[in-house]
Amino acid sequence: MVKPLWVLAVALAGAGVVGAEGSGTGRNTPHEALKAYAAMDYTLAGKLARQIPDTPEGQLVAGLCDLYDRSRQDIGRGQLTLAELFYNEKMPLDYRLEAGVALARTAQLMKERRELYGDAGDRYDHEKIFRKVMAMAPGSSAARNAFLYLIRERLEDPAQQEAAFEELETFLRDFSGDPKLLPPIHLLAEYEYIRLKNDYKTAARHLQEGYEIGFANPSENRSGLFRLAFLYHKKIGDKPLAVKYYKEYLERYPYSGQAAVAQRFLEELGEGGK
Amino acid sequence: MSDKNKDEVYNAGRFQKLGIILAVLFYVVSVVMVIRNYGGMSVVFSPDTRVITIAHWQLEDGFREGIDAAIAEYEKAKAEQGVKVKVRQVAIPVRGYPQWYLTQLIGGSPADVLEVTGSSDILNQYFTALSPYIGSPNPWNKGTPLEKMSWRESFADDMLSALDTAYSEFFSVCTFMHTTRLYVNMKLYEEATGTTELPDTLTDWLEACRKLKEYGLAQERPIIPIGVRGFDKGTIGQLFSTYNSQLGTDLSDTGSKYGYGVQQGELFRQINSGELSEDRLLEPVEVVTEIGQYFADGFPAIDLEQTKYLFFAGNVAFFIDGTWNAYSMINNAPFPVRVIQIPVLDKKHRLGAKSFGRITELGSGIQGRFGIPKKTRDFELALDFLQFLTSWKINQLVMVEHCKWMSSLKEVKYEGVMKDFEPVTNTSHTAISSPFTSIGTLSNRLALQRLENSIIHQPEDPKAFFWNDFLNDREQIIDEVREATYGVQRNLWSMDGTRSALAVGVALSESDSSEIGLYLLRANINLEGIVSRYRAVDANIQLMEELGKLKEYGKNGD
Repeated sequence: MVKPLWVLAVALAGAGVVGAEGSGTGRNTPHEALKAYAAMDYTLAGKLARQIPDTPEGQLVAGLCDLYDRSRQDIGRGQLTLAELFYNEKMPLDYRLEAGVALARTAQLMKERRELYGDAGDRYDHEKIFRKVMAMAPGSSAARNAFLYLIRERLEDPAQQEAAFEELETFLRDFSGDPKLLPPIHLLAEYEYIRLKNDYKTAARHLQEGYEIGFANPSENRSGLFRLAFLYHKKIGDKPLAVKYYKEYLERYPYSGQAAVAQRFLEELGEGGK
Repeated sequence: MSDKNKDEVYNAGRFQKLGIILAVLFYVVSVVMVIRNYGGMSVVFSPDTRVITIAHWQLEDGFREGIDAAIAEYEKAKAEQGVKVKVRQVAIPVRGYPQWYLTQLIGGSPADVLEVTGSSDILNQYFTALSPYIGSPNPWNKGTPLEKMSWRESFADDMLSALDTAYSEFFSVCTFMHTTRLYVNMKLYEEATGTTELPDTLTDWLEACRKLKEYGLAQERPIIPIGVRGFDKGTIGQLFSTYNSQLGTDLSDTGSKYGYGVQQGELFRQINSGELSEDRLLEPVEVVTEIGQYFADGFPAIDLEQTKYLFFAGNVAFFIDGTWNAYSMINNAPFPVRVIQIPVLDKKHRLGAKSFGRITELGSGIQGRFGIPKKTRDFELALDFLQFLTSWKINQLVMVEHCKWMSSLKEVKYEGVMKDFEPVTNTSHTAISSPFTSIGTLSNRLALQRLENSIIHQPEDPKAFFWNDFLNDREQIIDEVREATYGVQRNLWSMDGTRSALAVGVALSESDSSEIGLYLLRANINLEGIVSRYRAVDANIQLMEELGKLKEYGKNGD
């Protein structure tokens, strides 16, 4: 017969092993914390980050969780953690870039909603931080993100608008990184040239460039192609390009609701066949 | 011991025995249920059998049978591959589904393939991202017309309906497609109109309704020409949307300065500047008010189930509903039922000269999203089964053969009655949204209430009645737009959280891994989404400004 005490001992030993596994012994906690954060599992990421408060990973994940984990949000503390990380040149560059973008972006969003945040966002000069991120890693996705957030704000300000459009063109022309990072900027440029300048030609050029690189969102890629044809057709009056893109649309998206419209417009342009 | 005490002991003994019997019975039932829930005896005695569960809320006729048939095919196919598999199906009524679903997800032991509902946050927290898998072909499509397409391309809408724009991710795939149609009680229709030829145009439909009404009066029967879901105003909304598109589709060419389509603020700007008459937006009100004469007298209090009951009782001639009810409507009615499209606004009608005819339904109505929870017991098998379910042959087996529903996939041909469900394609016009119903939930509710009032009161000029009442609600509508703008701004914060997570994912990944490619792709989707939020905020600001400038009916554009 098995003695009950022996069973209890074995069970407790087993529980001890399981507990040891769960406490982080024998595993790469900084990596696990980043991994959990990347998967947006804030509960696990925050818990792991608290176990490694003196590591760059612990600080980064803890700061980001403070900003974005809405169940335990502490914006002031998160921004402070990220600011310390961002301005510490000994920290890994990738971590500093992310800390900078998150810090500046949240400060910017807070300033846009003063009725909610008052002047709490003013503690950080988001423009300066964005510019520093862009200078620290030109051509990176962090620089691209910082630029998009910054340029939209500048375009909104009538006093800065002209200079902002110039900066937009310069950024796109001189961008040294992977061109695949640029479609969102082209998308914004297309929109702003129409909204603020009614400049359909430049807008269509940006849309065309973005489309040719490829928008990531399949819906954007599809509607972008239709819009391209439509702008050349109805707003610019460039028939050959309109026909080219309507035909491309029909070829790529024959099942979409707008395929029939593309066909109708082609007929309108004297190009009945597909 | 007295006789009385002996009796008590005897009785107590009998109750004890009964208690033991009940306890044993309960134990046996519990064991049977556990075995059953786990996949049956074959699984218990075969530990190498892999078990997964699919759960959904589709209790319509044919769906569960269709899934059962798919499961049988799947288990057979996997057995041929040397893999022992057992798939269980759980169907939960829709009313309790959201609670059950959340409990399952939070509890940590959900079904492995789940019909998806709820917010983007729930999807992100509990469901597996499918983007790594949608770019490759569905292996179960081998030897079919979809063989060379990626899993994403094999869907009629290229999976657009399944994209979660808040998290730039696909957490689910769609399994079926629906359109809205008119179900006709042929016995009643023929008795009242003397013909079996069904109306294709609004003029003919109204004429048929008139005859049905007269027939009811003559026969002293409570005949309702058109049965509607009055309680939730679903049918009014559907009719309004149909005729709004037929009358106003051309506004898509000029209704936005950014491209094809309409922006509500731009339409109101055109009205304020005199470029567009408000009548263009109000003509559908007139059409729906006219059709509404043939609803039941107490239609605002009649819900879907009551309407179905009235239809099956033989008192409703036309019933407007989605094709999800087609199977039961056709099979359960004690009279022949035909299915037709909502009649088109034709040239014989006084507003017909302005109508563009039918609107394309291509690419719309794709639904039935199923995803795989992160806590699945067997992700590989769950993914394989989901791909099996959305493969060309099996999706048709479940949806077309069993449910009489349309498939969410490309290259599917329909026969018989299902040809009537197929999306309208022989037209070059697309649907447009109405500024009255598309601003927000409250505005939509107010607009439908206004339409209902117009039907009940049958005012001399429904357009003026509707417009002026719309202006009365203006402040509430502006408040709703303002709140929606705040919502977009809140959403920008969440989207930055997604951007941040993806940036950390990029930093974590090996530079040439496929993982980094996916993170970068999602990061681009996220940023493109932010541009679309900027557009939404600007559009809302314009809408609020233009709403504030609108004047009484007939006085705009001075």
